Amino acid sequence: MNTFDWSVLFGTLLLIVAYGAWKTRGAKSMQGYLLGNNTLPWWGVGLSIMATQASAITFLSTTGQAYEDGMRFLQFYFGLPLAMIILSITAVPLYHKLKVYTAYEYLESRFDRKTRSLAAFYFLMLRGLSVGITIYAPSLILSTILGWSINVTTVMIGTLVMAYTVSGGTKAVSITQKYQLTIIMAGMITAGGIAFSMLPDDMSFGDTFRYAGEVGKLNLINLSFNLSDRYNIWSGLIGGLFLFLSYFGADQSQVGRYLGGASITESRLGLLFNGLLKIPMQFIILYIGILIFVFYQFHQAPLLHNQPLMSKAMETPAQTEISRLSGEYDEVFQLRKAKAETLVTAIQAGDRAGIEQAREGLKTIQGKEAELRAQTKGAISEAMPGENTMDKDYVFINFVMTYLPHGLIGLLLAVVFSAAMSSTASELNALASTSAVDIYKRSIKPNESDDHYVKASRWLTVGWAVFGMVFASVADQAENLIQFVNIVGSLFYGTILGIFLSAFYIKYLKSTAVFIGGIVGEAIILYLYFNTDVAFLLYNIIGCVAVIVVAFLVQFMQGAGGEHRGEATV
Amino acid sequence: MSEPASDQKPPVFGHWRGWYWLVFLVMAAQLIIYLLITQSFA
Repeated sequence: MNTFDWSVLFGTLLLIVAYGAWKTRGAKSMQGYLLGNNTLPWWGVGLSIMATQASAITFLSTTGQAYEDGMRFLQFYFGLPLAMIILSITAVPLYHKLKVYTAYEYLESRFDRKTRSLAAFYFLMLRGLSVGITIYAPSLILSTILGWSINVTTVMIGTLVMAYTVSGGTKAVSITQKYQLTIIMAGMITAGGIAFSMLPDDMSFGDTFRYAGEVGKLNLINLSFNLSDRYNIWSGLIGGLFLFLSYFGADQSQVGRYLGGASITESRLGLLFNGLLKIPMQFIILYIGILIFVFYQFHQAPLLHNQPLMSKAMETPAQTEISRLSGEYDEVFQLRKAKAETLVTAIQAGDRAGIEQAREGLKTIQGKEAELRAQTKGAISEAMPGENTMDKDYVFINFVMTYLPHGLIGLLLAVVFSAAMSSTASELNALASTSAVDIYKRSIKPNESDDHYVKASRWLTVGWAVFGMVFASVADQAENLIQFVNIVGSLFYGTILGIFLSAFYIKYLKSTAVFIGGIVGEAIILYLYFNTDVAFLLYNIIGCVAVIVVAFLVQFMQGAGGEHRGEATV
Repeated sequence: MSEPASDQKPPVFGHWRGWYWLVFLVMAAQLIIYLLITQSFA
């Protein structure tokens, strides 16, 4: 990092933040602050939805995932276009017609106040905890790479986001996200282009594709049905559909994005835009990871991509062992490079027998490399107990810091910060909207002026931002807490989805039955979490089904009469 | 309250179903292309 990098990094971040805050300054009504006066065009809605979903970890982890494990992660997103279609048909017109500020407000039109408050409470639990992680995860990686204290990176991300989210509300979030996503995609594609440009001269883009295919990295679709396999097309289509219905239909951080659309048409087109572009976008990000993988076939990859951890380890008694392993790793690399060149020549010549031979040779060498890496991690863990040796998230950022020219390093760091800020901003905005509209205005101070609620929303945004930053600072000392928070989404999403599906589609179900279903469903999920080994992705389906089944049973016992507000169903 | 008339006829396609089918077909086409890529290297 030199002065030029710092200028690009801070220049990019401050320009976007200042522009967003200036352009949307002084929103005075709830309509303006929480819905941006409903002025967003379809492409603004679509970009905002995509920027909200893509956090910093998406870019750091996804490229690392492709580097280590190939492209099979793509399957996770195949349920998303289906969810976009279903929500465009059902949720969007309902939310717009009822002119709600939050998704949970709709539940009062359909059921009653207690069911609305229950769903809002579940949302605040899951999103309130995860906003800390959205700040913490990139802060940790950036602090490691830049050699800063984690408190500095945490406060930097948190304060910048707070500045424009408090000032301009929803509109500031959407406006900044438009530029943040542009920077993110431009930076990512540039990094991929640089990895490609540093490959051997005779290697075409098509050759990188064939090379990746021959070494097993283009494992895009797996048709086998296996519940224990996290990524196959069935878990992507079925599990992904439930997850994305819940995330885009009942999570205010996404609902808030399309509620800001200028009309039903704009909101629908925004969601469908996301449905069209999400899979290609993930493909591009994963393929950037593949390009880095191919790049490291011809340039020596570090024994561990987390270089600051390696430097720390070299000051411990593990130094001798790591030096020995590094020596062996250097020798293996020379063999690997020769085999990689043989494979490329065979691919270009269309020599099938040569391809098979080089591929088998590479497989053996890669096995040896993996073994050396595992031994290095083992040596580090022994010398430095408790250190996290997971290396995947550092592949992309280490490539950027090592091989990109000055100026672009600053730009790529701006990408990581921008991604962290764009998702955090939506989360803070959603937490503030929900706590202001569904809790404060509905149950604490119902008869105040519009101006009062705008002020309350601003203070609540500040409150949630501070909570997120404090959480991110203490999370470092509580590994178990992080693990818990990583699955918090799945603990609540299924139940929330069950409540919303009952509201949208099942006229027979009334408020008390769904309220009881919501409580029992959540109790079942918590029981499964604390007492069984059920994979947590399944909680989404189990929670949803449990709410609906229990609600049906209660409704059946109650009879079909009373407390009906069925006009707000699809 | 009913939707404004302009909301019921989005641009390009005469009916919303056109957009829904487009998104669905693009998803299905990607699935087939990626499956063919995977199998060609299997």
